[in-house]
Amino acid sequence: MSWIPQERRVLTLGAVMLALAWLGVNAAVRNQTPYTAGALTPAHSFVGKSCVNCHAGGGIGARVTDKQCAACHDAPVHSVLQTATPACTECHVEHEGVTRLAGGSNRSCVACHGNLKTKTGVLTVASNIDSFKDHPQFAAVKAGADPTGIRFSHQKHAGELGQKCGDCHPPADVSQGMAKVDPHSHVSSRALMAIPTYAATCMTCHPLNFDGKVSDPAPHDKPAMVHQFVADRLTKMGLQSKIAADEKTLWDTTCARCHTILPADASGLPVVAAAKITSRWFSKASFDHAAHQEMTCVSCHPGGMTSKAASDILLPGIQVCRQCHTSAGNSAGDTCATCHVYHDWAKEKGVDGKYMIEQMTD
Amino acid sequence: MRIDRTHRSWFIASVTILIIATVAYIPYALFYPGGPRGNSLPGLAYGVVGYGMMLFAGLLGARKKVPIWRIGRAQTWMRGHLWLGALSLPMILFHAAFAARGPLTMVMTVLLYAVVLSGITGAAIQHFVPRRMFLTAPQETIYEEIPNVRDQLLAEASAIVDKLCAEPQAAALAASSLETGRTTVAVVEEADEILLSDEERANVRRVYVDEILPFLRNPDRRDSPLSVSVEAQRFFEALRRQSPPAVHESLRDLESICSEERQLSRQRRVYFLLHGWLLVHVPLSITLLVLGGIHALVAIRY
Repeated sequence: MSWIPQERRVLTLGAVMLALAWLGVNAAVRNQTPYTAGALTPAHSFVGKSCVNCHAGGGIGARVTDKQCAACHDAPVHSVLQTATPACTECHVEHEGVTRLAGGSNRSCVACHGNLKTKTGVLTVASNIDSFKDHPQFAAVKAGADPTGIRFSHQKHAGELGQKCGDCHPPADVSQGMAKVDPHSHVSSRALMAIPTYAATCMTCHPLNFDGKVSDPAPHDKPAMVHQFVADRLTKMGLQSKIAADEKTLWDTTCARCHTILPADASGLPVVAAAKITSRWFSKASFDHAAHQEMTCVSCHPGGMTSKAASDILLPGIQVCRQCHTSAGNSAGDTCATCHVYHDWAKEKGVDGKYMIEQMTD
Repeated sequence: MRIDRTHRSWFIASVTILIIATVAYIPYALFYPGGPRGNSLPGLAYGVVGYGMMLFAGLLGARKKVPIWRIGRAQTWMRGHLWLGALSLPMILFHAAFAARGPLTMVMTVLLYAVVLSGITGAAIQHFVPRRMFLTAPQETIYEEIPNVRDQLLAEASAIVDKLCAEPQAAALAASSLETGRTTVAVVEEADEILLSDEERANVRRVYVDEILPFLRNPDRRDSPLSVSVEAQRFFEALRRQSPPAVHESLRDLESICSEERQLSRQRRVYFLLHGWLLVHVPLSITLLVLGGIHALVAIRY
């Protein structure tokens, strides 16, 4: 009648045996997955059957050593000025399932950038950033003026003439070397805008005609080449006497419409100030236009319709980014890794692999 | 065990530990490089403390197995089991940073919740039910003695009926013996002369065999009118109306026996309620302790 203690013993034995059988079966097939602290990222899951593939050495609380990581990954240093280098696992936290392992949490960055010290004591970036809220205004915006050197009115072209932004600013294909983007970041190959060129965007409306009797426009080239072209064409037509006057009109009116014309050099030809069109505004961060393509251009670049001078900075300030990139759960995210990359991949050396397939998968 | 004022110091100590652990966890969770994890030093500390509490709670079972151990009072062990066992849940959650990502840790987390929930359920049952049992089954019997008491009640009832139905010229002593399945109980009583007609004797015997005896043999069956107090009362009142006054005293004895049987049934049900939850709590607790030990060993290795 008093069956509870007996049943309890049977159930206890059964439950313990069941648990041990589960672990025993996995041990028999050399599968250590039950003991994992969480699912590995897909990139590492194929080595996850055996803990020692990464956890060589072991010990209470021991993390995977940098040496273990370096056996497969080359991770260049962040900055030669940094006073300490964190362990790989301090930023790249595994066993958290499908996460972006390359993007560490803000706290890893803030550990140094919250109170930044450098080996030389000289700081080239802000020293106390705890979050995106503390991030200073973008350096390019703070600079105050676009160094382009070109005369151009967005208001005239986009505002009055109704040209579309994409007519002059198509996405750049970085694979063609238009702009170099960090190859390890998540930024797409169409992240940046192509630099507008005369041939692609200006020539149709602004041909370099220099004489009413010559139909061919002058080439968009160095002054010497332009002079050669103009002289040849006018000479062939017996209009040598007009060379000087036509060239002066060309330099002073047509070229000067967009370029700054400097005094003549020793050759007697004027010097055209070089155009300095910036292809990548963020030198320490990555921005992906493709990731923002669902929005209108003017929502971030309102000056694109009203700016009258090419020296105007049309890059949106950080306050524009903060409209979407906040710490709120339903925001576009505000992690450091959204825009910044830790490793200086320019210093990447590559890895001399030493594993056989069996070693990785057994 | 009732949770009363005597638990006050345990309650205060547990809440204090919980507050300290929580206050320590907040900065750890917010600022620890890489985030809070079980294998960080604070995470390990929470794990060791939590598993220690679970082990202490588990030792109550060992302490009960060997009652001659004079290591603290049984009540102290029980209070420690209750409060430290409950406290182990937040400690382990802090250890795991409120996550269970691996298969083993997931199983252990489910077990931990099941153990703590079943324990809380059991503590609530142990707190409320005994008082109720005292009210509904005042004739409480030692649980293990219930089968013997039932055999005795059955034999007593049979003897009463035998006495009522005995032939007038029968011997001065009426004896009856009954094979009850476990033991043979012999009841011998001095017979008083009760004069019933043949028809009345047959009626008493029929009622006993058809209604009372099946109930006494299986008092847990719910389809008998005797299993419900009010219906049993009506049953015996009707029986008394059909019988001469001379047998009313004996019928009241039979009614009393049936009432005692109902109390024993109630006590048995309460016993299952009081101890049935242990069928979940104990096996899962021990499994959790075993898996926790394995988890700790693997953690030491890696």
